[in-house]
Order: sequence, then structure tokens, then C-alpha cells
Amino acid sequence: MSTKPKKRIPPGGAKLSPEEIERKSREHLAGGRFRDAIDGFKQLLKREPRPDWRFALADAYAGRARELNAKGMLREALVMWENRASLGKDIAFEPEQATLLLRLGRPEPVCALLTAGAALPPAEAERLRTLLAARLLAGDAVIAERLAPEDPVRRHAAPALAALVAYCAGDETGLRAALTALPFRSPYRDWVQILKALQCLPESHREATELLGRVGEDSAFAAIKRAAELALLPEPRFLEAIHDAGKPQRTSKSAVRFACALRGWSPERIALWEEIDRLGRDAQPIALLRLLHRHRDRLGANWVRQRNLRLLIRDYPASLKSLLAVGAVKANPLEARLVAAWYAEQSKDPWDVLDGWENYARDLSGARAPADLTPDERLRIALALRRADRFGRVLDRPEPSDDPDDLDARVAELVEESLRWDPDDRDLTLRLLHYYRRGKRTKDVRRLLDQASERWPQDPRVLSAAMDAALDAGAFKKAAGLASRILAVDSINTEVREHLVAAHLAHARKQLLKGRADLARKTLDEADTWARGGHAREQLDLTSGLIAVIEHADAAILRETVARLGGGLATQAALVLAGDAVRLPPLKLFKQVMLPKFVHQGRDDLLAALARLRTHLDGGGKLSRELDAYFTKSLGSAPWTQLSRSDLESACETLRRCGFHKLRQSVADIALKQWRGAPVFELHAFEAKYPKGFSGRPNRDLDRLEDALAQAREEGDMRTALRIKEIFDALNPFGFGGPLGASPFGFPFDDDDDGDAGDVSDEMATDALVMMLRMAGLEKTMNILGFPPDIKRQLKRMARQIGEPAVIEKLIELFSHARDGTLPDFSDLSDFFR
Amino acid sequence: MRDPYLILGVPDDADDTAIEAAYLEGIKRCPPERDADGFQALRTAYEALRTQRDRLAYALFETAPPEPADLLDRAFPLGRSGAFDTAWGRPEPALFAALLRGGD
Repeated sequence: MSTKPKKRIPPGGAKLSPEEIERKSREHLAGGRFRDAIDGFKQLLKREPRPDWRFALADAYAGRARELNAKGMLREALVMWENRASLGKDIAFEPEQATLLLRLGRPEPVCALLTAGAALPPAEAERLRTLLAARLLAGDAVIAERLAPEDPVRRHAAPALAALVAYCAGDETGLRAALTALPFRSPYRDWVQILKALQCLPESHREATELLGRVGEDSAFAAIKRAAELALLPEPRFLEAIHDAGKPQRTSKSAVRFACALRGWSPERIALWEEIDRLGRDAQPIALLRLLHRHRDRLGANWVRQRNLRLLIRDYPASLKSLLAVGAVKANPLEARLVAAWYAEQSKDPWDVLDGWENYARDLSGARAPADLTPDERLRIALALRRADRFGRVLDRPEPSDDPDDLDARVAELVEESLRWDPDDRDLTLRLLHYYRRGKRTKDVRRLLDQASERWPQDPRVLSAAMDAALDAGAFKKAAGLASRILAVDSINTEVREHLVAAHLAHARKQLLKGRADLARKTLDEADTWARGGHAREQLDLTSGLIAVIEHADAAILRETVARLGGGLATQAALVLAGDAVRLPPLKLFKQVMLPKFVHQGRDDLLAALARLRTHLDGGGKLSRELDAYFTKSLGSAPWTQLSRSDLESACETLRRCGFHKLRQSVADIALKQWRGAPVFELHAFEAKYPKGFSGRPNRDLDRLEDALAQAREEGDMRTALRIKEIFDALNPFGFGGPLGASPFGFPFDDDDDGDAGDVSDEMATDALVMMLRMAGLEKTMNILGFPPDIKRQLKRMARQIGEPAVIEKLIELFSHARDGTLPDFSDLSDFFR
Repeated sequence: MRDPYLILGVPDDADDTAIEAAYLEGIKRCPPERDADGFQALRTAYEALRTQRDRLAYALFETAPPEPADLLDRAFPLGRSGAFDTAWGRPEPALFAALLRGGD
């Protein structure tokens, strides 16, 4: 405890004028520096007993008393109150002093205030009586003896105590009778409200809350009110509120025990909570492991085992030893695989996730045939094999890769394998089917579709997928037949209707291109019977108009349709796209139809035009080269600055899908003027500027992209970060050094103009890499250097095949070749390792 | 995420029928209009355990460490009282006295 300085007024303070001392002391008082204020006002009072200085000193004593009270220095606080009281009878008595006296077990002075016939204001007397009533209920029976027989604290004590006894005993009748005996104007009034509130529980929380709300925060019974309110909190908030009980600024232990008892917690439950709470919020896994293991009999051995395994994730693989350290059985190989897979998920690297769960699935199946496994085991294997897709939504990629070694292709392979273990997952079957369709993997589509059709012959979604596949293959009649089958069982299926109309439209266009306008018109008539939505009708009208233009040079129908659609950018887009589908270039079309110039009609019109482009692409529509130039010109002057950030992001994405690179770049630049350095627009600007991929030496654009990558990571925009990282990975397939290495290893000094210095640096860099590999091992080195996932995967696979030491030696050999400029010719990393 | 088995009050080996019955019983206790949070917790728990595939996926992929409430409910579950979540208790007079004295 710190000692009180003898003198708080600075040296020379005695020489200050009274006005100066008063000014400073009042500043101390206002600033909560009560000890300085006390010193100052005491000095002033020595010079002259002015009442205003006396009252100010009283305020300073009260402030200091409260300060000490808050620190738990109750006796010291009482001294301050007593000093304050000694300043004169005109200093009003503060109930806080009475509270403190009662807390210190000295009710006599408080009782004396009520018995001596002192002229206490009624409100103050009432307040003191409430304090004494609460204290009396707490067990200080002596209080009653020290009060006059007619004092309400004494007169009402018996029913108040009876009410407490009846409540605790669950005697509802006795409680009601005792509460009735307490008049409204009683020092026990708040006590009555509290007991009535507790009586409502647990049936009516609302009524209880209302009754507790009638008890003031400064009431002598407020501690019970707060504890009861605490008990009424919902479970998660309750646990949060009772956390760290008894510590400064936290709920008192008494309040927590009271609330827990009210909520029906047994003493054992409270004890377990206190044990958990002692571990703290960020408990170390080992501490939790110990606690769980200690209570495994009550918690259930299997449940504890499962939770314990999850606690090993953070410090895996070292954590595997923790089980033994707490007395649990060590993890078996399958459990260790499971923890490894969870750990891989923490890394967020999709290849690690894939490897982790594939390893688990292989270990679980062992060399056993499916028939030798239990249904649950088969399902577990299936779930593990499809986890990489679930985790990263890999099969959602709009443009599947055609390289079987790419992530999505590998994931698709595992997902299809998983369907052999669990063939009943219809959603997943369809998901994989759509993935194959997007990747134009016709054979895979057909194979999977055959299996699905056999298993779910009448399922509308399977039929719909079959129809989509037929459309992909240009089998329009077959698609129409399938659509009819779907509509026979699900007549309000608008999606299928749209597909059906789209199929007819596509067929009509095909016929038109073959010069069979008659057949095209017939097909459109058939489509007309299925068309319901505005979009379908619009497409039919536009195509009919185009047939008339091509066949008879009659533009009337088309002009009428354009007029009905309202002109503007959106109508222009619809017309141009429809014309493009029958190989009518925009300029030729406008010349034939003789339409007035389209004028943009603001933000909504622009968004509608973009939406039409998206719908066209979503429906599998193609875009000819002429459209790029045409839209770049016509949309170049559109009101892009009126779009919101999310609209612009979506617009850039649409333009990327359209392949309108120039327009996309200018839109991204417009967005960057408003959101300077925004990663997503930096990405669009870069990709649009280098549509065929970046090549050449590092430049300012790469620097900006690198900054954007850092910013995206900082902002948690992992999608953009991943996309930018993919660009860098493509630039630097080995993942060493900076984003663009001149050699496959991208040593930091590759760009150095001084040839000798570069040689020395290469030497040093190679040595450092070799040392790192030997000391840290393969996995850590790959992580530190940020190897691209596919390289990591290949190296890990090789390590499994030929052993990690062999892979390290081969890598070192590879570095040496690269440094010496004698890199052998190999197309794939695995070729070098053979 | 809270342990869905504890939220629904079903044993670890509960089947589809038991899970559904517990969910329907639960929403009688916590209808969405009266206890939105309670209902949401029930719904989440039900969706996590609805089918055997869901239950195995939960066992394989849910990696959150146990929550204190899970430990408490599993080791010393609270009793149920009629239509209400738990049977509430009545604190002893000594607990009232401790609060009225202003002690810790």
C-alpha cells in the first residue's frame, strides 16, 4: 500500500494567494484528485472558516471516501465520512456512510440517527430505514432492539423474515400471507417486490422482470434484484456474465451463487463451472484436456475422447503426445489421421485438405472390400472423400479445368469415387453432373447420367439434367421430349419451361442458319405454346422479327418489338445478342432495321443491359468478336459512375465472362478512381490489361497487384486474395522469392545488373535453401517459401513414394542445376524425380 | 457451436425418429414467437443431426472445442419442469444474507 505524502501542495504553495489555492483545489475536486483537493481546502479553512470552502472540503472527503470504498478499503473510507461529518451539523448526512457503517457491522450510529429524535428529512429517514431493514434481514437482529418499538423496521421485521423463510421452504401459502402483512409504505417494500418476482419463476420471466424493475438501483435490496436479473439472462449471456466472478468490475461471487441456485444449478454443477472458469477464456488445450479427462466418468468416456481429439488440432503433431501426458490412451493411427485432416483444414490449403481426408478415407477402408465394411464406415469414407469439395466448394468453379492434375479435376475424381461408397446422395450426383457439363466432359456426363437415371428415373431434377445434357449435345428434340416429361409431373416448373423455350429457340436459330426459315418459324410456333415468362416471350419476338428481316427484309416486327421494350441500352443489348445468335453483326442489323440511335436511360438501364449479358451467358450463349468492339463502344459512355461498388464488381465480373477486356479495364479504372487500391478492381484492371497472362519483366502493374494481394488479405477478402495469388503462382510456378523470378527459382538477386554479384547471391540463396531443407524438413520449407499447392502436393506424394530424405536430396540437386544453369529438360516435376 | 445432442436432449446414438421427436418436443417448449433464440438453436441442432449422413458428417467435421455449457449440461444436467426448460431452484437464506450484507 502506498503511503500518503505529507504535503500535497507543491513547494511554495504557502506563498500562493487564497484565490490561487482555491482555484487549484476546485480543479482537483472537479478532476477527481480528492486528496489534493482535501489538502487545498484544509489550508484555506485554516486561513478563514468560509462556509463555501467547508462544503467543498466535505465534497472532497465524500469523493475520497467513495474512491476508497471502491477499492475495498472500507475502514479508511469510513474515516473520510467521519471527517466529513465533523465539519459541521449543516453537512447533510449521506446514506453511503450509513451503508458503510452497516457493512462494517456498526449499526448503532445509524440506529441512533433514527431514535435520537434528530430532525432528519423524511426521505433520508426512509432511506436509512430501508438500509436497516435489509441489514436486519441479513441476520443483524440487534438492530430491532436498538430501534423504538413503533419503528416500522422493527414492527415489520417479523412478516418480512417469515416471508423469507416461507419462500426458501417453498411454502407458497405462508409466503403470500407474510407478504400481505407488509404494508405498502414499509421499509421492506422493495423486499416484497423481489419476493413476488421470485415467486413468478420460472413460469413468467416477463412478470418477474417487470417486478424487479420496480426496485431502484440504489435500493438497499438492489444486490438481490441484480442477482435475480442475472439469473433471468439467456444461457450464453448468463455464462458470459458470471465469468470471472469476484474479480474487479465483474459480478460478485455471492450474486453468481445466488443466480446459479435460482437457475437450479446443483452445488456440483456450480463447482464444475468454477473449475472451468478458473481456466480462463483462452485456456490452453492441455488444460482443457486435463479437465475433460478428470471428469470423463461424468461426461462419458467416448464423448471426452472425441472432444480431446479436437483439442489436439492447434498444436498438431506435437499435441499427439498430450494425450499420454494427461493420462489418456494415445491416439491410434486412424485418430491421428483424423486430427491431421482437421489440422489441414486450419491451413486452408485445398490440396492439404484433399490429402488429409483422402488419407483418412484410405486408412479407414484399408484393403477391405465395400461389402466387408459397415454402412457407417462406408458413409464415413464417402464423406471424407467429398470433404475437399464441401470445404472449398471446388466443384462450383464456373470454368472447370481440363488438366486432370488440377485441383478441381482431382476433387471431382474423389467425389465420383465417394458416390461408389454412398450412391444415394442425389444432390451430390447432380452437383458433379453440372460440374462435368460445365467442363464439357461429355463421356463423364453420359456415364453419370445413366447411373442417375437408373437410380431416380422419374426425378424431375435428374430429368432436367438429362435435358440440359441433350441441349449441350445439340439434341433439341430429345431435350424437348425430356422437358415435356418433366412438365407432365411438374406443370409449374418455370425453369424447365425456360429451358424448353431456349431449346426451341436454339433449334430455330440452327434452322435459320441453314436457310430453313420455314422450319425455324414452325419451331418458334411450338416454343410459343411453352413460353410464359417475359424473357422467353421477348426472345421469341426478337427471333421472329429477325426471321422476317432475313427472309423478307421486313423490319416492322422487329421495330415494333424494340419500341415495346423501351429502347435504351438494355433493349439494344437484347437485340444485338439476338442478332448475333443468327450471325447478324450489330452494324448490319441496325442498317437493315433502320432503328433510331439507342440512348442510355441511366443507372437502371445500364444494370439491365448487364443483366441481359449475364442471362445470355448463363444460358450458354456465345458472343462473337464483333460484339466486343460494339459493346466497348456503346457501353463505353454509359453512366458507370452512378453504379455502387457492388454493382461495379458485378459488372467487371460480367465483362470478364464476356471477354470484353478493354471495357472491363476501363470500368475497373473508373472504380479505382473512387475506391483507390481496392483489391478486387486492381485484379480486374490487371487481368483485363493482360488477358493472355502477364509476361515480361516486373513492372508497376505487378507492384500494384502485389499491394492489392496484401490489402485483400488484410481485409479478409480471401476470394480476391486467392485469385490474385493464382496469378502470381502462374507467373512463378516454383513459388520461390518474389512474384516473378527470371529463373524457375526466382532467386532474390536475379535482376541484379552486376553479374558477379548475382552469382554470389545465387550461391548464397542456394546454400540457404539447402540448409533450410536439411534443418526444417520438406513440409516446413515448403510452407516458409510459400510453394504453390500443386507443387506441394506433388512433392508430398513423391515423399510418400520414395521417402522424404530422397525428395530433399533430389530438390537440392535441382537447386544446384538451376544455380549452375544446367537445369535438365523436364515437362513435369515428377519426371525429374524419376 | 453447442453440442446439438445436448440441445435436443437426445443420446449420442439417437436415430432419425428420436431426433425428430426431440425437435418437435423442443419447439413446443420454445416456439419461435416466444423464444426466437431457443428455437434457432433447436433448428440448427436438428439440421446438424437430421439424417445418419448428417450425424456422421457432424462427428467427422465439427471441430469446435467443447463449450462450457456443453460440459455443464453433460456432467450435471438441469432437470426439466413441466413446460419450462429447467426446474428452477430456491436459494438458501444464507445466500440472501450474503447479498444483503454486501459481501463478495
